[in-house]
This record gives sequence, structure tokens and C-alpha cells, in this order.
Amino acid sequence: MNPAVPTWAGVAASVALVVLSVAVAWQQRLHLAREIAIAAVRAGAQLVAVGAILLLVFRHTGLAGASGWLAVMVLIAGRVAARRAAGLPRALPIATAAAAAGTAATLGTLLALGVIATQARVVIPVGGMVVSGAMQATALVLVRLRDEVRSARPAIEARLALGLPAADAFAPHLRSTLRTALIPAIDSTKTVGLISLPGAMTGLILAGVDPLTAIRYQIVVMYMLLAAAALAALTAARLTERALFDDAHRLRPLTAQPQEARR
Amino acid sequence: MLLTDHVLDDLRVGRPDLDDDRAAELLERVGLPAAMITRSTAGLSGGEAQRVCLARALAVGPEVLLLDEPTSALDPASARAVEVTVRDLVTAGMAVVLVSHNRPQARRIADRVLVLSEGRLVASGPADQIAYLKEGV
Repeated sequence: MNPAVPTWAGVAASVALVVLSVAVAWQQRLHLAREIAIAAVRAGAQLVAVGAILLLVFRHTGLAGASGWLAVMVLIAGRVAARRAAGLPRALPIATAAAAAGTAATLGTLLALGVIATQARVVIPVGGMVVSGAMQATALVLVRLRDEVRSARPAIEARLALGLPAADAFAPHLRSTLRTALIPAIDSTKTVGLISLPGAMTGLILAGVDPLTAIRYQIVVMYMLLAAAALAALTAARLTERALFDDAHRLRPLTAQPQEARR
Repeated sequence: MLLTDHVLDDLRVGRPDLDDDRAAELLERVGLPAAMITRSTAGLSGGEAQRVCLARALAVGPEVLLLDEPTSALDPASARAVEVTVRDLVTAGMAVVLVSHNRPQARRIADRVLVLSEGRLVASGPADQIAYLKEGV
């Protein structure tokens, strides 16, 4: 066993830190002691469960199990992103398709080029990063497009009235949406190592890999997150555009109001 | 509803190949000075903006103009300027269908009037023969 990784006894000892947090909350009367304790127990239980399932998948199901795991992650990502965009037509299938497209293209390229190994223990964690990057970009695109259609409907309809086809009438809004949705991915790529401490690299260094090897992984991760965000955003934007206009190039009314607007 | 930052760009939304001369001509057709093609849209009054919109619609060479309450957001002087422009277009041969809640306006500029009440057609004919227009203000 790698001496850099804590033993179970070590994990038990780290509970002292939770006790410390609870003590601070209690002493300062923050009414958070209970919540902190529950959160700590929950984190422990969740991670033990995930660890056990991963062990099962790695040992017994191989790549097929990994693909299944990825599919479940994509479905969850689609749900989470779609929920942000209540009011947009067909938000759930669009968000799911966008997360799937971003993940499949990015991960597929890495596997096809032999950049990462076709093993469950590689595909699952790397896939997880890709899915979450794709999810973030998808959610941003959907939210922005919904707000854009709400606020800019008169401008879009004015362009349609001048005879522009739906795609042209919507183009300025689509472009500004895509620009905004890609900002987080671009900025985190720019500042990697300066502000953000990359997880993959940290993990490898903790596991005993030397830093110059660890950064190779991190570089691939950053590039793949950029691609996942870009592809997911583009897919989400194009599919949403199609859902927003009917065959006669009319801008559809948005469906149910989102939670914030109802209040 | 102006769509861009410059008058000329706005005129080109539906007609990207519109040249400067034709743009100036369109502005004159809606009663605006030709020199306005160089202006930014930011400083336009409500009436000027609405007439730029009319010119923008004319740029695509429509056979019919559909105007839905074109003066509802304008002050009386601007509204009159738009009315005069619409009337001039009609005189020049343009077919215009204009929706209005303003009876005096309909009296002033319409040739034929259709009166709709709760989604039903209740009267139609030449403007000077529609009793509904004579009643109200």
C-alpha cells in the first residue's frame, strides 16, 4: 500500500477535525453543529458507497460497466442542466443530448488516439470530469437562451418580420450566448495552476507520481474540458434553436414560467 | 424596435446589400433627412426611430405593409409625423394594413376601415361611412 494514502485508522482520526468544526459551531451558537455533523456523515457514507461500487465495476464488469456508469452520469447531467432551464421547449432531451455529444466526442477522441487507456479505472474518472464540464456549459447555454428569448423576443420578431430566416434572426443571440457559456472553460484553462489547483494533477502527485509526469495528465484534462464544453454548448444551442422556432420560422411561446418568475 | 447601433446598419438588417444612395432615398421617403444615414440610433426621438423602422421595412421591397399600432408609444407630434409618412406611402401606391385603437387616427388616414369587436367583424366600408368612427374621440 502506498504510504502517502491514509489508513482507515487515519480516516477515523480525521474525525477529530469534524469534532473541531462542530465545537466551533456550537461554541459560537451558529446553529450549524447538527448540519455539519450530518454533512460529514453523509460525505463519508456516499464516498464509501461510491468506492465500493467502483471496486465492483473495476474488478468485475470492465469497460462495459464503465460505459454504463458513464451513461448514468450523462443522464443525471442532462436532468440537472435541464432543470435550470424550465420554460424552454424540450429542455430535457436537449440537455441530455448535449451532455452526451460533448462527452462522446471528447472521450471518443482521447480513446481513439490512444491518449488514455481503455480501462474502467481510467474511463470513469476522466469521463466524470468530461461530463461535468459538458453539463456546466449546457446549463449555461440553456439558461442564457431562455433569458435571451424572454428579453429579446421583440428584436427577434422584428428580424423575422423583415424576412430573415429563423437561423439568421436568432444568430446574434446564439453567438452571444455561446460566448458567455464558454467563458468559465476558457478562464479556468487560462488560470490553471495559478488560481485553480487542478484535481487530476494533485491526485497524481499525492499518489507519488512526479510533478512533470502529473502535469501531462493535467494538460490533457484541460484540453479535453475545453472541447467538452465547446461541443456540448454548440449542440445545446443548435438543438434549442430548432426547438424554439416552428416550420414557418415563427418563434414559439415559452412554456411554463420558471420558479423565480412565479414568485 | 431598432436592432443595431447605427441607422444605416438598421436599414440593412433585412437587405444587407443596400447601398448608401438607396438608404438615403428610403429615409427621405419616410420624411427623414438623408444625412441621417450616418447617425447612431442612440440619439433618435421616438418618432424618428419609428420612421427608421418604416424605412427598414420598405428596404426589403414589400408589396404590403402590416403596421400594428405604429404610433401607440409616440407623443402626439411624432405620431402625426408617422401618420403623414404612412399616408404618403399610400398615395405613392403602397398597400398598408394598419391596426389602431385610435378612432381619430383611423378617420385621418384610412381609406377603408374594418371594425373588430371581441374578435368579430362588426362593420366595414369606406372610412367616411363608418358610424363607429364618427361617435368616438
